[in-house]
Amino acid sequence: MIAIYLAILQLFTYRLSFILWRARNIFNLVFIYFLWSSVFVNRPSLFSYTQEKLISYILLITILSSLILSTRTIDVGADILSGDIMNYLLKPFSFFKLVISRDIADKLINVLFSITEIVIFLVILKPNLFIQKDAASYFLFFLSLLIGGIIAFFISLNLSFLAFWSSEIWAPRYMYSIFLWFLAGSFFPLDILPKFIYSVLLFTPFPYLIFLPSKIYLNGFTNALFIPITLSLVWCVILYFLTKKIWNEGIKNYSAFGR
Amino acid sequence: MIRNLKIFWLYSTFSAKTAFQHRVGVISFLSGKMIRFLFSLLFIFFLVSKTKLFVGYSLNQTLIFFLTFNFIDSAAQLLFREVYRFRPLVITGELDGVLLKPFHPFLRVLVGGVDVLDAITLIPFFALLIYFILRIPSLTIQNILLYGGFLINGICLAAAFHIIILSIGVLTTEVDNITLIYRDFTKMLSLPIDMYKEPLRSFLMFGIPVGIMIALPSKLLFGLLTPNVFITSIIISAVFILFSLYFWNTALTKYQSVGS
Repeated sequence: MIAIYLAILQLFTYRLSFILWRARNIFNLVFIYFLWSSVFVNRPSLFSYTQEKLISYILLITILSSLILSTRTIDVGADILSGDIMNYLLKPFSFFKLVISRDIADKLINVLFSITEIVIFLVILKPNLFIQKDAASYFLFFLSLLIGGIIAFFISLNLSFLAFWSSEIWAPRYMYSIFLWFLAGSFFPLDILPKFIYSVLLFTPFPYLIFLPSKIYLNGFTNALFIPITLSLVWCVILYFLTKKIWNEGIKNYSAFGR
Repeated sequence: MIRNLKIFWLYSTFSAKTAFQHRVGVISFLSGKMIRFLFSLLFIFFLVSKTKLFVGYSLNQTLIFFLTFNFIDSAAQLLFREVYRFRPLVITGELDGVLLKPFHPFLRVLVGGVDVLDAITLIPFFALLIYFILRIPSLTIQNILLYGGFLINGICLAAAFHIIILSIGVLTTEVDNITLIYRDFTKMLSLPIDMYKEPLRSFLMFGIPVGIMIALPSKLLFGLLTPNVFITSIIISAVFILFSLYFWNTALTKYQSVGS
């Protein structure tokens, strides 16, 4: 609760920054919306998606990106480089609980604003949307959302842990953001890609961040989703142990000069 | 003029040396840029090959829109990268030192940090652009000249945008997010402007005016512009560039040297 309170305080301290950052998300949404809307002019469906489903997909990934991809774990890298992490490690509470709390607070704020933006967007453009009516699909949707959140958290945290060995932590994160944009489904549904590429992508962690939950919402549970869901769980476990190992190795080598 | 070029060359040399000090960063950013470009290119290929036409444009034409955006965007980043580093100058008060120097401050704060990495990416963009332009069936010399002229106009407009960002930076110390918003607006024009509905399309074309900067050259190349739009675009470009200079001069009169 304290972390959430602090995150909100921070938000109101840098209001302009936050407003401008949210504005950027709206521009991105407008771009993708008009791109796909223009593709469906005089065409009822494309790549096995109707216009209704594809527009729903775009709006859904906008909210899910705010939830899954927004993170404060980036700060961990900066804290390691500056030596500020020592202050947290010496305090009588778990460092990881703090990181998780900050992350949850950040996600909550972002989702709240994202939903508000989508509502305004819907009021202005009034697109037809697909509403999933199957309750079981909602259960799987939320489960895959949780898995996606955990995978994104571990990947981002590991990228920050690179600071234990190198000061060049922004370049790998930049690469990660590029892969996220294309391979996580933030731009288009991954299953419109040729089958071979889509199958290869399923062995990477990217499709499980926002594509899989969106797919479950739009199509409901089908047998074809059994393998992707299993693979996402496998990635969760792998990344958990990898994060633990990297943290242990990193903290063993770490020294903060002048602290 | 020669003196200014010498100062520009000196700053560019320093900038190149600084960039290559971080080799891992250089390789990662360069690979990242090229991967993003290739992903986008493949996506357009994939999408427009399926749909045959994209808002009335063929695959070749859509790619020219995309490559023109990349060319202007990279040229702007190549020349005006120093704007991204402007905020620290304002908040620490180091801008005082820049303003006191016996040459125009734009030589330092606007074009003082030429990004060599973008120079590297410009080469494939330009080569691909020429390749796809030569594949246009009804290409005329007149249209090519107009395209080239408006590419230069696009870079001048990009300079004006960056001068406005610097001015906002002087007034509010907010640079980073404004720069990113400018880049988001330009990115919206990476595909044909015709995909947007009115009044958004006109707003992007004449209101901001990123449309004149990025979409107009390609439209001229395809011979799709009416004389009215052509003349209006020239007037808007001139007014926008003059406004940016006026805004910079006004912002400087409000500068309070906060950090010093």
